[in-house]
Amino acid sequence: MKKAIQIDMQDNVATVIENVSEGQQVEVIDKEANLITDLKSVESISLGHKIALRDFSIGESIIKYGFLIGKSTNDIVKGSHVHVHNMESRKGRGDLVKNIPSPKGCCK
Amino acid sequence: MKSPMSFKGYRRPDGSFGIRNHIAVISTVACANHLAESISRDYPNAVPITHQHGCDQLGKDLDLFFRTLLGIACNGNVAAVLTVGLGCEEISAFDLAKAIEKTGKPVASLIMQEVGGTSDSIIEGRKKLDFLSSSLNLKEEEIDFSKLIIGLECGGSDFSSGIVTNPAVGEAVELMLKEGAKVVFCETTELLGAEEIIRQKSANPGVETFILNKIKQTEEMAVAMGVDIRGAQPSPGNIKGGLSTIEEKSLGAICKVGNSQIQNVLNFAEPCANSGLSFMDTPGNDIESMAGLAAGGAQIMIFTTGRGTPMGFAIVPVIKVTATPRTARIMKENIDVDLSAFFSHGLSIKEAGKMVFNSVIEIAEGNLTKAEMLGHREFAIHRIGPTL
Repeated sequence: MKKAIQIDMQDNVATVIENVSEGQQVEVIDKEANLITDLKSVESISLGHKIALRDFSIGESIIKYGFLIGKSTNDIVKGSHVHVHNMESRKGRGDLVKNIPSPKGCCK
Repeated sequence: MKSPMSFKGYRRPDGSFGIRNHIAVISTVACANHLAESISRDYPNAVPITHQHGCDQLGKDLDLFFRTLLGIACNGNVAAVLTVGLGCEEISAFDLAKAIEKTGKPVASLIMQEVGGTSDSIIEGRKKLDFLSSSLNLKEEEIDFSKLIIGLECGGSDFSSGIVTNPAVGEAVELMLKEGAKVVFCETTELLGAEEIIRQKSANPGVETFILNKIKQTEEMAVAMGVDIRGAQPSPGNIKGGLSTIEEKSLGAICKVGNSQIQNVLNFAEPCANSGLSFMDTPGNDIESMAGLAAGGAQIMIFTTGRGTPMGFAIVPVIKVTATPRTARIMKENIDVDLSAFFSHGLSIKEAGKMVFNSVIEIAEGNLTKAEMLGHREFAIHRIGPTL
């Protein structure tokens, strides 16, 4: 069976450590290789990419390492590939600022 | 008797130690780069330090430029220094040499506009290099592991960085700190999103405030530019490797410090004087941040990568560590420590950490890194102001 690593028990995504095809069963293990759960992938996911461990509505927190790594930008079904197409960062988003204060140069 | 945690090295007049015996030929301005490279050719110990700057720099930016070059010259891995300049730049090769001289390190300088054309300057430079070579301290002494300053760096990160490679380095950091070494991690941009971990790992409120302020300033800089930081963080390569956001990349990167507490903080290129784990404020750019670490005194760097990178550093051995199976295979000649057995053979993070630690000892003892063997001698200047 294909494997995915869940780093922290609070995480709602896991990292697949083999290429996974649509409909394949995936075992979710912790860092010491203990089995946590298993689920079915709903699409192909490349080695090193994330699989959703539950359903998400738009705007929900994506948790990895036990911390927030971004928000969902679409509804995500359990077993889906979670990446830049359906989640995004909330950090350093100058593009979201309407009235940018006059830059003080690039000096720190 | 030789202690298991000691190795042969070089003592410098200012009390620092080196594990390499380089003569740094430092160009103080881009106009002197060709000269620095030409002079160094045929001298196995000589390393040209070249860059595109040194002209039309002002204020804090100029000050940082000077401190960076001075720090590189003072690094324990440098036995002697030749500074070469053109003659009209802001920081003259002569002034830089005068500052280096205070450490007691053998140093000479050459200013092209006072000597002549390219050919005459090369001849003059080689005479100075001959003299410096003859004054080299070749006496190796037994040096304790605690005299090491080890810099931590990551580049071309991917999914394996936060799961295997950086946690393994975190284990190695614990072992190195136990031996009394100084360890420095850096790359402020790659702490964006890991603020809570910084709060947990800061040894005191001063450390915490310093780092959190630097992270905030970095984020504000991206926002002030009106750009989406996602254009560069994570990079297209990071994204291919499975990292979706800067937060995810940062939470993986911070695993390099392991369970250790952050004791000290340093500005870019500031000498690392205190024992324990330190943070240095540097950008996420690999070569610029390594210049900061080396200027701070790092004699060895541990560089974790997922996607793979060949980069070395002018005067410091850079140990490449990866756990990504494809990278370990196709970039084998660039990788010093292959941890991909985590995925294929159940290698534990503890065992992986020991492998990283053992590699540090081997490189400190004089074995060459892959980057050194392949002739990688990269260097770059970190700018904090515009060119005028």
